[in-house]
Amino acid sequence: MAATVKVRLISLVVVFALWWLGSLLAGDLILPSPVTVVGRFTDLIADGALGRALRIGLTSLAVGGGAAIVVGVPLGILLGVHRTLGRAFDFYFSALYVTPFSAVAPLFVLWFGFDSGTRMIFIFFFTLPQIVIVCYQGARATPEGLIDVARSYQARPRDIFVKTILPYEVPFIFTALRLGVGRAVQGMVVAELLISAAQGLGFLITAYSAALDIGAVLAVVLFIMFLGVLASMLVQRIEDAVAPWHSEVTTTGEPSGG
Amino acid sequence: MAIEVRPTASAGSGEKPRGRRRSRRLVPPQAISVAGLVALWWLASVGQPSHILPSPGAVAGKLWEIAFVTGELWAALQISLVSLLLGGGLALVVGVPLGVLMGAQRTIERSLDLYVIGLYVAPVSALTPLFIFWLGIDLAPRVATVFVFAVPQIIITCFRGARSTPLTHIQVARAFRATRRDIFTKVIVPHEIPYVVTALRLGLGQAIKGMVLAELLISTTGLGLLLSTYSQLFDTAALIAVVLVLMLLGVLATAIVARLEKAITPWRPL
Amino acid sequence: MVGNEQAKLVLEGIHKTYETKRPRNTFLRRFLPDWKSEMIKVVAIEELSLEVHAGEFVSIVGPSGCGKTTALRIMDALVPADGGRVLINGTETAEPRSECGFVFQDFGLYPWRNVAANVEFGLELRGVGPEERRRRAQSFIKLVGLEGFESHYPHQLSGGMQQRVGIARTLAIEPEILLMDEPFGSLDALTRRIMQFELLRILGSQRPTTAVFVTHDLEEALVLSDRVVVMTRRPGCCKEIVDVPFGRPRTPEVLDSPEFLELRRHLWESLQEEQVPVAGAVQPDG
Repeated sequence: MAATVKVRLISLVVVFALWWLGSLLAGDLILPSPVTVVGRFTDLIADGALGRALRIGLTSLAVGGGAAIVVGVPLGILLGVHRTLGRAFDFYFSALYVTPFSAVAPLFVLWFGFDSGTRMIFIFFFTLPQIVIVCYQGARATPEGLIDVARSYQARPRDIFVKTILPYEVPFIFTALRLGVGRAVQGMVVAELLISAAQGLGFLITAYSAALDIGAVLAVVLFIMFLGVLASMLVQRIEDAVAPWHSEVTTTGEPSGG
Repeated sequence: MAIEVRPTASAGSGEKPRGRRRSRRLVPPQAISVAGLVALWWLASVGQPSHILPSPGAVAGKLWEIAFVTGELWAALQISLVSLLLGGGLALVVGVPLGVLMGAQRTIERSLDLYVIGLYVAPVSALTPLFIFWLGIDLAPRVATVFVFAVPQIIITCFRGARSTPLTHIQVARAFRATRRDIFTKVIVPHEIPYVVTALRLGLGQAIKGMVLAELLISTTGLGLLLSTYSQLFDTAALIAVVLVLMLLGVLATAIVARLEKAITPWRPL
Repeated sequence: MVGNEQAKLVLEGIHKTYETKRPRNTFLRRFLPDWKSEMIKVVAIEELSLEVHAGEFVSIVGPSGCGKTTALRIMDALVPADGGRVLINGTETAEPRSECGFVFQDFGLYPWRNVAANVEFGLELRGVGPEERRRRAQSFIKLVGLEGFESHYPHQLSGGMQQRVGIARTLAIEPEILLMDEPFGSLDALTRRIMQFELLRILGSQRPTTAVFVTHDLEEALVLSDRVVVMTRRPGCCKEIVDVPFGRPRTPEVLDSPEFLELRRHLWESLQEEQVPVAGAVQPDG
């Protein structure tokens, strides 16, 4: 354990040192030093800009991502359990999954305009395939053997579903939540960048970029990335605590920014 | 004491599994759902102005036009694909060795894992505006964006490959007195190759997403210019056409590499 | 079978200890897996000594977890011993020896190599040229009964066939000592029986090979060996050594002989004493 922490600490120190050196060489305008960035960060918190932006972003995130979870989990399970429906529709979600979804943003803007509702819709469709696919694979992954056990006790289809498939599905639902949260955060950032909101996080980035205040831009960007990591870690911890038995999920969970 | 063997009743009675036969005669459900979707789309588009919801026919016509008549789609794609190839290639050149090294050496893994996982989980799209500031609005920020999208996925996949080398494989080599170099070249590398191909597939998907995002944020040439032009002209049909083409690009590229994976490693249940 | 010449393989006072983490049961452990866990030492092998003579086939049997696989790995230096030493041909062992050939329980075939390439593996590592390699490997492929399957890949073969490839691969380097770690353990009972007699046939056609064979199957040990070593439960050491007086070549009839049944009963009782005591232990029939 100690060795791990030591190595990580050393590498962090090295990274900070390189950053600081870089800022000395390139000048504070091009690459602000860590100190500058921390300073701008506290400024942004102080004048409430970051707080406002977060509120705006997290609202879209909660609505869009939440809707994706509420719709996606049952949908994925349904497609997994119902063979014909599954075969008819699963490839849509696989295709959507590998599609660069940000390409749809201009279309959404054309249809719905530049407001927060558009972003919510974008985040919803951005997150949905991830959740559906994971839950779908989970429902289909219930081993035939387990289902046969239920059938040998003359279980009705409804019982088979509730007592065999659903419990087997639970870890997959958690994985879907974890990956879905990560994906929703990315969707939020892309939405903010492409469907700009007044005072949103994307707005902060573009506005401060234009003002050549790179320290502020870096502060916001690093903060966003930190948020994404935090969200993922949190859900992972909750998952480990509540459902410590792990099932294998075949998707490698590509959290993408597009 | 003679033991009698009686032939089982059903042997050779010519019964075939009926169920399977039946489903082969029907049209595959995918075709039905696609047809249904297109029909719904067409219905919805009737009576709608074409700049809101163009009919499937209008989109098809527009696609034909920009693909084969004016050729502007290919011209734009060509420009954009350069950044994809450069960024993706760079991601492979950097990511594969790094992933393998991290898998092979604990120290390297521990010193880099924070950043790799961080990049993997974090919304790296936030970095593109920074790249634009630092690198301009030409090829460089696009390549950089594609790179940061693809590289964490590639590193992690190659890492998993190197780390998953079965202990028995290594023990077999040691029992035959293989040198460390032998173990690397004859055990770890062959075991790793399928993972590199998987990394290529997953990385390609990510790279395409990076490419598109960069294009949307840097709308000076290529796809980005195309998309922003169509947006301004309210040419919805063209927008939808481009989206469909990009969707197809993602699906095809991934499918082709998946075939390659299957060919290289017939023993893996992919 | 005990001759006056120096023993081929000698274990002297082998010790082996493992350290494992034992977590304590607290709710916090779910969030912090290392919370309040302690390292405990498990003694796998204690004071194990054994002499194996040239040309002998010795089996090691024992209850689960007694360390027999560990002992075998220590013999080939795949695992370092914590105490004692291993002597092969009179010299101490620190690295896997070229005199030893090891056969693994899960076959350990490389999926990207076909049968021929797998069998050639050891020769390849020794720098034998391609032509020579192919020739030598071919003779062993034929010996184990897989002629015609040279271009097949492991995933196309059954378990028994895969293990034959594993055996051919080990024989191809013509080791003086064969170390076999439950090689038939992952095969079904019928295939296992077939492979036992196949092994006898294969070894019978070679010059006398010294072999150490780990198994949990008492009948297997009796069919194959000249001596059977019974290990105690953990910490493992040698409980007793049983001589197997049947002549060679062995035939399936030996399975029905009264001496065989008597030896089997004896081994069973010996092992039963090593099991954790359970009320109303079952007696084998015969």
